[in-house]
Amino acid sequence: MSELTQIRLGGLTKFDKADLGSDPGIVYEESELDSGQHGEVTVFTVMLTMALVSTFAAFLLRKHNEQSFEEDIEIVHPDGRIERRKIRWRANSSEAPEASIIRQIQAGLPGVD
Amino acid sequence: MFDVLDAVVRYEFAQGLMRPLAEGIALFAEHDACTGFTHTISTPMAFAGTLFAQGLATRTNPPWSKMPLVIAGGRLTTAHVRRKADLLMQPFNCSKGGYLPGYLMVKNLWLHNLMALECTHFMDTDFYLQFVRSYFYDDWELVACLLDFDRSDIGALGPIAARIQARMHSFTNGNERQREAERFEQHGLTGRSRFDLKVELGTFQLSYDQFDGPSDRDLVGQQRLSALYVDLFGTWPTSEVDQMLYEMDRETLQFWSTITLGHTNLDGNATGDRLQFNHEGKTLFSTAMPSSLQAGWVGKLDVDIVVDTAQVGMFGFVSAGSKLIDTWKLSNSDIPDHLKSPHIHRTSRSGVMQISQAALVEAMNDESIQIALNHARSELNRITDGIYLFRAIAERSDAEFEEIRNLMHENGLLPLLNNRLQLLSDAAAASLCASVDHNLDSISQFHKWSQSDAYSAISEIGLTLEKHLRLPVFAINNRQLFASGI
Repeated sequence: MSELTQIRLGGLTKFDKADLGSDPGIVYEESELDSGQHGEVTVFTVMLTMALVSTFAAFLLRKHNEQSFEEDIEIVHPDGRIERRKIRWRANSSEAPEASIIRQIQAGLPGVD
Repeated sequence: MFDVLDAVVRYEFAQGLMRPLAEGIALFAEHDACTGFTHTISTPMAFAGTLFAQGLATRTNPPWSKMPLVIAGGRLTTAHVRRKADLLMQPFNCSKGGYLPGYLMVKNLWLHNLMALECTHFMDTDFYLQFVRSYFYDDWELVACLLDFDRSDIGALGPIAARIQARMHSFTNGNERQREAERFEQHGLTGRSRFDLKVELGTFQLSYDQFDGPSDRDLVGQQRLSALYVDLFGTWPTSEVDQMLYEMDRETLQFWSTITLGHTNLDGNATGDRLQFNHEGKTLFSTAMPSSLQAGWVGKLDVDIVVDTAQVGMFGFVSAGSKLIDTWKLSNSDIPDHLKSPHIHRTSRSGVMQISQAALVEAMNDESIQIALNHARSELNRITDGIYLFRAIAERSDAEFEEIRNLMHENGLLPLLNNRLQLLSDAAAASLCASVDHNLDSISQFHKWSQSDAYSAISEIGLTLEKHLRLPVFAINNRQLFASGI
C-alpha cells in the first residue's frame, strides 16, 4: 500500500485535535466557516498517512466511547482521487473493534491483503 | 457614502461588543439551563420540549416535569462531554467570537447573583437564561445610544460601549435582584410590555421586559426607533425596485422571530400522485402531489424547515425557483402569510440581495471609509477583551490577572489543569451532571474518570482550578453535585 495514501476526516474540534495528538504524519487544517454560518467554534480537518491507521482507529473508538458509531471519512489516493467511505462499528460485534476499523479503512487498497 | 459608514460602524461595533455575551448566553442554554420551579419557560426550552424525545416533556403530567430527564438524555453523553470539554479549552480572548470569556462571564454572573446578591430565583437556570437575555437585549437605553444621530460614525461608538459596560456593572450590583426576578416572572405570566412601531402602511409590534419604571432615556430610545421606522417605511416608494426593497425590508423585520432549522436543495420528480424528493438518484421521501404541479414535472426544489419563535410553530416550505410549491404544517400553529412570501419570491429576492450587497461593498471600498473602519475594528478587539476577560474570572490584582490571562490565552482551562486532557474531560462531565442534578455515579457507565472515581477527579479539579480562578468550581451536597462554576 502506498504511504502516500491518506485518511481525511473533517469536523474535528480543538478537543478532538488534542486527543488525536500530533505526529509528523498528521496535518491539521483549520476549516473556514461559510459566511452564513455563525455560532460554532473552530473546526479542523485532519489528514494522516496510512501508517497511522492504528492511531486513527484508537481515536475513533475513544471519540465514541467504544459504543456503536458511523463515521464518514475520505481516502485520498496517491493519484489525487478522493474516495468516501463510511466506517461502522457495532458494540455487539464479535470482531475486535480496532481491527474492524482498520480493516474497513484499508479494504481494497493496493498492498493490503 | 458616509451615511453608509455610519450605519456599518454602529452595527459592527455593537454586534462585536455583544457577541461574546450572545455566545455565552447561547452556550449557557446548551450546557447549563434546565427547567425548574418558576412558572415561565424560555423559548429554546419550549422548542426543545416539543422537538426532542418525541415531545415527552409536553405530553406528560404535569407539563415540563420530565424536561430535566429530556435534557439529561442529551447532555449526559460522550459526544456532549467532548463538546463541553472543547469549549473549556477555547482561547481566553475575544478575537474569534469570545466563546470561553463570554461563557465564563455569564456563568460567573449567574453564581454571583445567586450567592452574593441572594437571588434564589436563579436556582432555576432556565429562568436565569430568560432573565439575563432580557436584561441585556430589552434595553431601550442601548437603543437610544445606537440611534443617537447627533453623533456620527466613530463618535457614536463611545456611548454604545459605555452603555454595555454600565449594564454589566449594574447586573453585578444592587440588593433588589430577587424582587426584580419575581416581577420578571410575573410579567411573563401576565403579559410582557408592548411597543408599537406605526406607519400608515402597517404596524410592527415589539414585546419586551421592563426591569425598572420607564426612564427618560428609555423614552428617548423608543422615540428614536419610532422615528427611524417612519423614515424607512413611512412612504411607499415610487420605483418598482425601491418597492421590492421596501417589502423585503419589512419582511426581514417580521422574520426576527424565525429561525431556519435547515435548508437543502433536492431534485423533484412528480410521478403518479406523488412528488418525490431525490438526492443523488435516491428517493429520500415523497409527499402527496401539490396542486400546483402535474405528473411528469421534474426540477430543482428548495426545502426549508423554519421555526417561528413568536408562535412556537414549525413549518416547512417547498419552492421551485420563484414558485412556492407546497407548505408543511409541522406543529399545531397555522402558517402565517408573512412567512410564505420569501419563498414565493426566492429567486428575485436573491438577485436583489446580491445587487444590494455589491453596492454596499463598493461604497465601503472608499479609502477614507476603510481607514475609519479599520480603526474601529482594531479598537473593538481591545475594548471587547477589556469588557469580558476580567468579568469572566474572579476579581484579583492586575499582575495576577495578567498572569492567568496569559496562561489561558490559547487553550483556556487546559493549562490550569497541567494540560491533562482527561482531567478537562472529567471537569466537563461533572459540570454537565450538575446542570441536570444527576448523581455523578450515574455517568460512570459512559464516562471513564481519570482518577479511581468521580469524587477523586472533581476533588483534584476543584483544588487545581480554584487556586487559579478563585471561583467555586463545584458545589457538592450528599454526593450530589448541584452547581458548577465552569
